[in-house]
Amino acid sequence: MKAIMKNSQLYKGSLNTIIMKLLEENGKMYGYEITQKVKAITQGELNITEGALYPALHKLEAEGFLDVEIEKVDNRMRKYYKLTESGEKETINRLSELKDFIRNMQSLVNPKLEF
Amino acid sequence: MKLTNEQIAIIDETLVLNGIIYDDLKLELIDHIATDIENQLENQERNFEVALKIAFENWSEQLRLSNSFWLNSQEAAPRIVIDKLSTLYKNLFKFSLIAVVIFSILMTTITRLKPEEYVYNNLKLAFSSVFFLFCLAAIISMFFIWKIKSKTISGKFFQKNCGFLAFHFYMIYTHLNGHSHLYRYYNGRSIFNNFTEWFLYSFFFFMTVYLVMIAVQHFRTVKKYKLV
Repeated sequence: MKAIMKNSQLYKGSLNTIIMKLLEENGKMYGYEITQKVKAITQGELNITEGALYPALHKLEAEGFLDVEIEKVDNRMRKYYKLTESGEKETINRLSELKDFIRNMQSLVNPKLEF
Repeated sequence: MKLTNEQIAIIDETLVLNGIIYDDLKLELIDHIATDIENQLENQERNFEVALKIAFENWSEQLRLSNSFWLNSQEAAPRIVIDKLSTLYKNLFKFSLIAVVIFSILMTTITRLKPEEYVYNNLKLAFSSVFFLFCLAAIISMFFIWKIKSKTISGKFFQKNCGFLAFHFYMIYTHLNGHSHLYRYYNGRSIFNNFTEWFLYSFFFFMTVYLVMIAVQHFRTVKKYKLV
C-alpha cells in the first residue's frame, strides 16, 4: 500500500484487515471499487496501489477467506470478491486485534502517567 | 461514459503485449483499467488515449518484466505473473515437505511395529498403486488443459511441471521392482534408512498430488470465469 501520508509502512500490516472490513460492510466489491472506497473514506489521504491490492486479494482468496463471483457488466466481465464464512470469522478476529493495537498505540504515544 | 468494444479490445491487446496472456488475470485487469479510464473520461475530461496511458502507468510496476529464483528459468514475465507462479512453487515445496515428513514417520512406525514381510509388501503395493493413479490423473489433466486452450496461471504452472511425470513413473517402477526395496534389505536397515526410503519416494508422490490439485484449480477457474 502506498499511502500519501508520511509513513506508509504503518499501514501495510493492516491492508488485509481494511479489505475484509470493507467487504463485511458492503457485501461484495471489485478491485477498483475497493481502491476508490478507501480513498473516499480517508478523503484522499490513503491510496491503495494496484500492486498492493491484488496480491492481497489473491492471497486472501487462496487462504479461503474470500470467494469470487464473475458477472458481466457492460461489455466486460467483472470479478467480485466477498467474504466466506471463515472470512467473516477472521474479520472479527482481525478487527479486534487491530482495535487492541490502536488502543495500545494510543496509550504509548499519549501515556497518562499514574503514580 | 462507457467504453466501446473497440476500446476494450485495445486494453486487451495492450495487456497481451505486456505479457498478460492468462485469461483469469487479464479479465480482472481489463475491468480495473477500463473502470479507471471511464472515471477519467467522466471526471477529468481526458481523451481515451491519454486516459489509457495514465491507467497503464499505475500498473507499470506490476507489468515490469521480472524473474524469480523459484522459477529457475530464463523466461521473464510481468512481475504480477512471476509473483503468482512463485507463490505456487513455494506452496508446492511447503505442502510436499510437510506431507512427506508426516507420511514417512507413519510408514516407518507401522513397518517397525509390525515388521512382517506381508505388511511391508502390501504397504508398498498400495502406495505405488495410488501413486500410479495420481500420475494417470495428471496425464489426463494435461490432455484436457491442452484441449480446452484457456490459459490460467494454474494451468501454466501445471504445464511447466508435468515434464517430471515420466520420472515419477520410473520411480514407481523402481520402487516395485528394484532389488534394494525388497523386504529383507528394508528390514535389516536402521530406522533412519527406512525413513529415508519412504521420504524419497513419497516426496515425488506428494508433488504429483499437488500438481493434480493445481489442475483441478485450473478447471474450476475456467468454469467459474466462464472462459470456455
